[in-house]
Amino acid sequence: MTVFHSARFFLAAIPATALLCSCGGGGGGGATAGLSGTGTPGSGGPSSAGGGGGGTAWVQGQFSPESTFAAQCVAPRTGTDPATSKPYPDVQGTLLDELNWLRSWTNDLYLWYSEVQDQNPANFTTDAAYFAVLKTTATTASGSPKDKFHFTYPTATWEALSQTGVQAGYGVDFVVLAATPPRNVLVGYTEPLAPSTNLAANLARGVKVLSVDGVDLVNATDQASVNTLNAGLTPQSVGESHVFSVLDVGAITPRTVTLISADVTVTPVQNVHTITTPGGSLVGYMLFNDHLATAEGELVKAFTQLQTAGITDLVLDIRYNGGGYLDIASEVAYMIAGPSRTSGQTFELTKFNSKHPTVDPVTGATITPLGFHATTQGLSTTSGQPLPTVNLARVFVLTGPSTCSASESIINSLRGVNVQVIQVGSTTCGKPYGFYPTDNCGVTYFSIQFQGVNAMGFGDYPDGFTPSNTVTAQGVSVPGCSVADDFTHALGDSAEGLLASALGYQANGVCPAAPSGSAPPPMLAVGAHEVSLGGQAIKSLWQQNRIQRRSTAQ
Amino acid sequence: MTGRLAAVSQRVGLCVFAFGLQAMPACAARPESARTPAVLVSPGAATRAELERVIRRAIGDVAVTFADDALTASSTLSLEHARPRDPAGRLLNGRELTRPERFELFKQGSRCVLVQSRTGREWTLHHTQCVAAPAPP
Repeated sequence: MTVFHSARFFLAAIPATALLCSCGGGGGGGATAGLSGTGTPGSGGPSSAGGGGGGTAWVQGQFSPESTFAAQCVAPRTGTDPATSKPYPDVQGTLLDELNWLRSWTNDLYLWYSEVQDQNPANFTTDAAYFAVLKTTATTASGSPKDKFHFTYPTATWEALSQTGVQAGYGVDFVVLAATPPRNVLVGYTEPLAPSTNLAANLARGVKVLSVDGVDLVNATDQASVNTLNAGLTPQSVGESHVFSVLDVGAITPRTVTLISADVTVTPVQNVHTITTPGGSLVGYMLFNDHLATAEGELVKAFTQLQTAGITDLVLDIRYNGGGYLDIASEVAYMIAGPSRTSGQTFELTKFNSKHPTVDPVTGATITPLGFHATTQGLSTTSGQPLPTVNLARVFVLTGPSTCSASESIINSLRGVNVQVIQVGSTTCGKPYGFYPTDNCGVTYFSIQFQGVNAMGFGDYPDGFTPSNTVTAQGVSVPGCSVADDFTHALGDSAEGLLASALGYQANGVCPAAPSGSAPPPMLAVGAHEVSLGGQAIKSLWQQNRIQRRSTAQ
Repeated sequence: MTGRLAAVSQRVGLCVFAFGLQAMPACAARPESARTPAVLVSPGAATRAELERVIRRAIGDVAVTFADDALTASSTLSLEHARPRDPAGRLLNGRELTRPERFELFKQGSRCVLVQSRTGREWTLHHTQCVAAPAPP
């Protein structure tokens, strides 16, 4: 057994209890029953929505301005609002006031406001319950809920700040291939110099987790065990010690490691290198995992390296990239395509609901397209510096279900300016939407307010992007190959399944023989076990519980 | 960086209140020497505590987390909102339109000065040693 510890300084730990009670508002996001289990802070309590207060009587289809009800709270906050540096505007109100604000705010700003059934707030006893119905119930072409992104968060927790790229954890990203028994959790990738990658721990990609703190990860069914598994996989603070039984790739005997969580600095861009193909082409590769602010500097460095090398093709590995700063996505797209293809073009245009066709209703600014940034934006670099570019007319992107939001914007924006995007992997998450997180009475609401569209005006990919040879296509079809994630090789290894397929396609335009993706998944051997594709990556602090009991699966 | 330094220089003459912090506001009643981007030297508990106090006050007394090696390799400290995820592991806000909160450390004469990039407010750190930051590669 090996013990690791990293002596990072933790200035102000966010109470774990705040996290555990933070996932009440949603409903669109997936199966959390029995895990989140608690209501949204600020919700519930003894108040009744029908208890009067300053609200007006409900008349279906008639809405007062949200300002009529804003900051009228069951439990007004006192002191200084860190968002404004002014005293909180909260005054004593009722639950009905809070619900009326939600109703009016939704009617004004929700992207699909006209699809929300107007229900009398007096019939609800918590703001969480009411917020849950303030969304569309429509489904996409694939049958998925149209709105999968409807959540609340405690404002105090949301407003907390952390050093960019620093998070409590082991520096390992677990991929959950099966969240219910028999569960399957593997290491997707690790951060350099993190506890997980200490020589003795050596939790390399593909390592299979068998148990956590003595609980059978594969088969446990009771809630206490599930809680133990989640606590071990996603530590919420530094200094937590958890014992893992793991099985290395190709091994038949498990081994035990003890990991102690630390503040891990994330490296969002890794493994930048070039590959000379048998045909003599020079192909660049980079693993881009997160649109963090620190990614800006790393991306500039990476693209400079590849530009200097003179690559003729690029494989951008975003299979585990869930998005982040849209400005960074714009920079990446520029650095791929270069000025001749992007100058004066729209990277993404933000579209709000039909009530707000020209003015951003939150900022008050005139809606203008976001272009392709040709210079640094100063997120982690000196702003205004010219960006490097590899100046390519096509790009290979490696994708999976964790490829989301700003990562999908890279794909969509490049397609919008006729850069050929070759997709290898499986269907992306399908999130062309965004929101301005909005506080009222101590709860921050995430309700979809805008959609991003590219230079061609296209942004309808709620079922994601899908490689064109996928057997059962889900999302927007993109030329490329459906390939299962391959945990038997390191990311960036030319033999790794997705990269190998991209290189094969680059050489001869042909996909591997057996398409997969969203079709019934093929199996890849991992040690003595079999796994399927389609997993999503557990990434970091603030990770919600994802290991589930079978009975709660949906 | 030149532009930023020029901007900071133009702010000389302002006395920025530090909300009663031990770290004093940087006033410009006296002549100022040139500023250079700086990094911390062997920050101990007192340095980190002072840094935390200054930053918490600057951003509105919300919880802040940073590594013990913050500002030791770079003169810039970037802070972001927590990045909560939904039950499927997706970032709640994967299409972020805002910018991170940035602080920059400068050495000015014998003083270490922390500047909030967004507002230009600045504080002299009294329990901190700093040296000029190494030139970028």
